[in-house]
Amino acid sequence: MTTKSMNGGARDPLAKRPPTDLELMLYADGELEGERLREVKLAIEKDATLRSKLTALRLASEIVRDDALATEVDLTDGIMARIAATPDTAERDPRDAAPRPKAQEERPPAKVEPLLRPGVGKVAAKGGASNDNARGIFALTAVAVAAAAAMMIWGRMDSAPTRPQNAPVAVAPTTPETAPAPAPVPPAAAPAQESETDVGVEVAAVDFGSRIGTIFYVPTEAAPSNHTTTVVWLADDPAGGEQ
Amino acid sequence: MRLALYGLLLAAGLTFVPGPSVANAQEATAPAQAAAAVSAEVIVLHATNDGSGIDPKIGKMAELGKPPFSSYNSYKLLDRSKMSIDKASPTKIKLPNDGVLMVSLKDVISPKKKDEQKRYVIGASIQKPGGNSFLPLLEVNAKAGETFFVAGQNHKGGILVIGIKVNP
Repeated sequence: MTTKSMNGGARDPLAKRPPTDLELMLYADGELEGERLREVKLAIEKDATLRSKLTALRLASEIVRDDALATEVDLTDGIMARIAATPDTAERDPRDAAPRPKAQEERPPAKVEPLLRPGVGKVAAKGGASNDNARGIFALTAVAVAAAAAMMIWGRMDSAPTRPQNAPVAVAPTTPETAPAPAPVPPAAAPAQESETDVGVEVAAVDFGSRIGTIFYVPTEAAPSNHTTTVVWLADDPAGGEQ
Repeated sequence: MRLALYGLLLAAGLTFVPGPSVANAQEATAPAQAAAAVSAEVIVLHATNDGSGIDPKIGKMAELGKPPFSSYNSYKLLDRSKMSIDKASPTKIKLPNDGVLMVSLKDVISPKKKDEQKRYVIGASIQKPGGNSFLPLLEVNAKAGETFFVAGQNHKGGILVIGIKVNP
């Protein structure tokens, strides 16, 4: 906002106003611009108080800047160290007064050390985080490999034949002695020699219908091999003598 | 970023796992398609007790001298035929007693070990003249070259003995 003087020229009301502390800080930081910069500069040249203020501001700014660049202040470690060093005067629960184990009493007080080393604090912290990340990746890779192995095993189990190879052979009621078949009755010594032999042909399923049938495993010529020939023998007359 | 990396790793791990159903289907169908039809041999013998002995045309068959075959002292070769059996439809063979033997290839089982042979699941059934079933169902699991027998049908004072073998 501007006001017009009697002679018609524009006149800034701030021109006569002494610079504020904020304006001095802006001037010290080189952030003041335009007409006000020139006016503040003139005011500082004329006023020794303003000059001393400006000098103090610059000095304080330099100190803060130098300290910030020189070291990183780790307040956390300092606070924790002070807490550890301070005797515990807080009111305790009576149960805490119970005698402690000797080993616990003799244990040296905890030593608090800063995690970040001065000067290399950022680098050290980054190294740790990177290491944790690698551990996580390894763990996840192991989990993925385990899952893959489990699925592979599951797949193999699924691919096994649905019908067991050594399924028990279904044998119809075998009573050749009682069968009314006119054909000669096969001897009973040979039937169903399933155990400890190499069954050449495995009977997976059989339906004798209404007839009486028997499955024989007849040893072949090469006796030492225990190989057998499978024979399905049926009586031509249905069970019960029906035709 | 980290989550994305984990997801990528997990996806990679699962990608290397063969899909069980797809892989099994491929394993199962490949040999079956390769052996959609196999060659088989059927021999039909007439077992009697007429004292004529074992027909030399039958060839060397030591089982005929052992129980239960030894309940007959004579075996004569009535028929020996080779055929192709497949999964599509059973192969029919007319028997000397006018019955019908039907043989079909049900499945081919791949060997579990390298030194083992593949096995063939063979289905067989016998119908008597007039439509009655003598043997409704027989399903065996045999290697190539192994013979199995079905015996018992009455025929001319004896019985019929049928041998079925998948040729190598």
